[in-house]
Amino acid sequence: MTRYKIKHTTAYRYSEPVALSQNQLRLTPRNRGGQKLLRRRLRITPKPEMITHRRDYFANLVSHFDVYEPHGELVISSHAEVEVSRPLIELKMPSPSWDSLVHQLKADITGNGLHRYQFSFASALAPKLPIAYEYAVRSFPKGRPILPAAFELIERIHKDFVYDPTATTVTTTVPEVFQKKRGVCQDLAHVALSCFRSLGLAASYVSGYVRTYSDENQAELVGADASHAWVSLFAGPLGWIDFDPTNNLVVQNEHVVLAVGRDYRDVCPVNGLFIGGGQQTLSVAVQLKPETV
Amino acid sequence: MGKTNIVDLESGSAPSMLADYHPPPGVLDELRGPDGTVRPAWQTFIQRLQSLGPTRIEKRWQRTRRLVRDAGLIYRPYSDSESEPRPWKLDAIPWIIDSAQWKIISEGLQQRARLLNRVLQDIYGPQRLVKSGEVPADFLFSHPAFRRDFHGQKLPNKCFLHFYTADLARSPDGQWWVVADRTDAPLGFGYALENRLVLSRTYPRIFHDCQVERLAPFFIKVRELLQQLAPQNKDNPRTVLLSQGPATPGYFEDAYLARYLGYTLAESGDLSVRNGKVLLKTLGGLAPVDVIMRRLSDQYADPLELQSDAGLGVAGLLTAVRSGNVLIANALGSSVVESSAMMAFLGPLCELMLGQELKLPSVATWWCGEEKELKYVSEHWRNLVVASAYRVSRQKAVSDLHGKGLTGTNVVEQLRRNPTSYIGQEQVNRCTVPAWQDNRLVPMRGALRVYLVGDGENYHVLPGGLARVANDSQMLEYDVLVGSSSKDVWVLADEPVKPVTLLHQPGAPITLRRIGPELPSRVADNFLWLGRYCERVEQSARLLRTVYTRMAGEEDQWELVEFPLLLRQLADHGLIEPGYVVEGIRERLGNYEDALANTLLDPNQSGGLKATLGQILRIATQLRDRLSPDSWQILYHLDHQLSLSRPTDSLEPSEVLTVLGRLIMDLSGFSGMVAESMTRTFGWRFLDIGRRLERSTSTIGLVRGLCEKPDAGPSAWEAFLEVADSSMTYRSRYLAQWSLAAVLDLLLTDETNPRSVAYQMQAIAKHVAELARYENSPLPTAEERLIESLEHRIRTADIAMLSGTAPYKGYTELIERLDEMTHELPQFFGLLNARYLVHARAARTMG
Repeated sequence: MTRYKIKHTTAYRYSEPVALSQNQLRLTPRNRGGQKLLRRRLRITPKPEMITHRRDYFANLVSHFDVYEPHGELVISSHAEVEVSRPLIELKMPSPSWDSLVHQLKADITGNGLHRYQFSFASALAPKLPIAYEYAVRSFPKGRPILPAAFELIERIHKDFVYDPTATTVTTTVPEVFQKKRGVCQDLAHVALSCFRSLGLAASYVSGYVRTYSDENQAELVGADASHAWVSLFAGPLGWIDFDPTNNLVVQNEHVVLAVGRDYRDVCPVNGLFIGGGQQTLSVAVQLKPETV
Repeated sequence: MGKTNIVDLESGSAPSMLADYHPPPGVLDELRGPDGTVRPAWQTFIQRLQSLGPTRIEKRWQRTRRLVRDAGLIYRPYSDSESEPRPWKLDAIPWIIDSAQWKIISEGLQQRARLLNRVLQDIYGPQRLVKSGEVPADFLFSHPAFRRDFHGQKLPNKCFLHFYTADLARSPDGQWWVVADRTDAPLGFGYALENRLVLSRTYPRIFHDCQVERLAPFFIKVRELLQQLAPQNKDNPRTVLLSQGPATPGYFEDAYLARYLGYTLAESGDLSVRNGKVLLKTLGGLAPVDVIMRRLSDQYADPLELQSDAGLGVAGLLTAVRSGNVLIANALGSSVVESSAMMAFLGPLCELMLGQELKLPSVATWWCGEEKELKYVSEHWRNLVVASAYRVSRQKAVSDLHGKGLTGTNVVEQLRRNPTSYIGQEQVNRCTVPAWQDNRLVPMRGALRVYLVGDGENYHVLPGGLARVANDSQMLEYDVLVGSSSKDVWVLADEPVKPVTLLHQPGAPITLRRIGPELPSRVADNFLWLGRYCERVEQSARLLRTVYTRMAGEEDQWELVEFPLLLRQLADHGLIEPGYVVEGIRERLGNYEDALANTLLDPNQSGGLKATLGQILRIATQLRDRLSPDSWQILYHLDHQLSLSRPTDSLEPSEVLTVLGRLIMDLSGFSGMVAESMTRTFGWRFLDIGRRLERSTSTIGLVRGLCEKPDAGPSAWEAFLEVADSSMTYRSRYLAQWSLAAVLDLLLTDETNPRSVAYQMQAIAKHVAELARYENSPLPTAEERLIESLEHRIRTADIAMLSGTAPYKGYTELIERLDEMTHELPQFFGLLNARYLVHARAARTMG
């Protein structure tokens, strides 16, 4: 079990005052799936006129807030303490064949099955594609257990796609990423989702944080990155298994989950609209301090 | 009535109207039964029509069509795809339906509306129908309009579907089939209303004799219903009709409906959400909105949550709905059951949910997302319409594959690759209805669109609708606004019909009202620019007229001292390139006459006369619900006035002069209408401010032109007075005595001349003071101070001094003063904008 203290600061600075700003946040770590939310504080400056919270369709906590006073800077800092304890998933564990899962997903929709079934469908940013199918099916011969197949696919994505923050933008599509074979965690997650879904498997997009190490002493890195992204695959009796294609690993206790959805659009940590503002600059700092218990 | 009359029709001495009326075989004709007799519903109408005779019908019809065209009474949208607005096509003959048939249609559609509402409640609720497979999960999860964000809304009466519309077709056996359900933001019942207005005017007596059901009660029901369901202020909820905007097909209808129902016409930019409440941006501040009649597609309703980038919608709207602060009709998310695939599931759903058989069947539909259905469509696609299973936008209903010249394998392959996206549908062999063409009745294929309003359980049917006819049945498979001609629908009552009107309910107490500052800022902005553009066109036309008069004269225009000065004014007005004023450059630019022709003819020359007329038409279109029909008619026709054809060599000056004269007359007509008929609302004030600002700028330009060449002499001065429409005044005052000081006084400082700068300043100052009364500030506003200072400086300009002996220094000073004003007027405009109008700036995305 690992306990984390998280500080995630998002700051927008504007060259001209912003008259009005309306935003929604998905910045609260989830309180389920091997993860316990112990403490939580959200601080926003300038102080919002209104702030409300709700659970969305995927049970993520969404915070809405509006700022009506003119401001040149908007700072959202989210503090949280989370306890993570997930079972270890190993390659050698027995798992059902992937094609039997595809049938099972389709057949079992009367209860909770319906909710999971939706993750096998194309979504705006993670579509089903012939190119994704061709790429994925090489690791998914008929009858192969899902675990080794998924491990292999994730490893291949990790190897074939170069992590390159300059290659893509937020609007880059999966076919483009396939063409460039480059991208960031978000792109790699969408690629993996397109692969799984093109096969008929159910997989979701996960946003959150990952613990990073600076050197062999494994000292934690402060302000490493913005939030991270990976995928979660439904594996029958094993439940949902999180794979991180960027780091080529199965998620255990190094990751903290913020939100789950069909793709980035469902989980976008900060999204908003504003009027005025001129030039805007964005800076994000994430700090993840582990306290092994 | 009865048999004998029918025989008369057929064999009477007058040539029968039905002699040439032959419906195609194997098709049901609405007018004539299988034995050729006129069906009972049509007998009175045909008899009356017969006694009018074709010549008189045609004459009346011509007159009505002219009425439609001239008044722009009904009118096709001004859209990007079709830059030319087109007159609405309406047929002279109504579609008459008897009460028995209408009962079948009404009851069937009422049941369908209830059913669809229940389905929506389930889809955005427990999803039991999906879990049991009645609504296939694959259908829902592949549906692009199924947005998770629409879950968890707080809906009065749990009602999603307030407005439901169905497209119907009638097959040879007399059966009515639903060919499409419209549940998002149905279009057309405004057009139905307009059609009725026209047709009942064309045949007032016949209309009365036929006992036709009135449409007004339906609209009263609409108002009552939205009022009842309003979450607060139930006695007088503020209701807006949210339009998708002037560039969309529905806009004309939106404006018409808003006016008819007494709702404020709003565009996305007019609304905002604060603290979970929807607010309308008005000149007087933000006013809370209780009900939104939505004509904007739900997919664009909230750009914040739906992350749509269409530049439409109101950020935070879903928050407001979730808080229960606003009623939106139809509720967001309703569009999901509008898809063609849904029709394939409705039969079993009806039995399951309502315990009844579906009264009005859907046309046979196979959704390819199921294996059996896919196989069927793959084998039979040649006899089916293959179309998109999910119709999200209102564009084209049908993307039929066989129209695209694909081979059979292609179609099947396309279906196999993406089965959930397609349906196969049978095509109804549609009935024919009589239409008026070439002076006679002809049978044409008909489509019927019917409208309902309700609270989720009880629905009311508009007794009438929007019908369309076309020679080619295929045209009718498209959406309502494409191709074909529209038709009024007369539903016959069993007993005499009582007149109803929406405007006057006898006995109901009415509070007398004057319109205050509650004008949407966008509307004020439009009025301001309408004023500016009208004045700009008038000034340009006067200037061009003065120039062309010189060109048409006996003398060589280049010999005239005023000619270069006038060209300079043309350049200052942006009507020709500035280079034409400079000798040396002018020659290289080519013929200046061509440049003049361009400003008159080229709609793409920005700042040109033709282009500004385009702007007027655009803005007038947006203000249509606020302009009187007469004013609208003038503005609508301005553009036609300038319908010169581009000649091979150059425009004939005399022809141009005639056209410009007409243009100036029309604009004066509009000004007169504004002066005499427009109530002094804030809209009027902004119109006038716009006009006066523009006139100040251009008159200052004229005065400056005179000051730069004070020795130009009387012929130049007279030309400038002509442009400023003040030459008559000058002559009556000074006869043939010429003095530049007197000219300048008339144009600049004379407060009794409605063309002088001083007069404009005074008028603007008065408006600004009126506007500021609502500001609740003890101090004068910044724009009040600025305009007063401008007014003061004009009043104290010492013109008399200029007539003295050392004029040139005086002119230099005056020019400086004028330049100062030219600089400060835009500042004033900016202040006015900032206080009253700048709500409509576009929001941007974080990131």
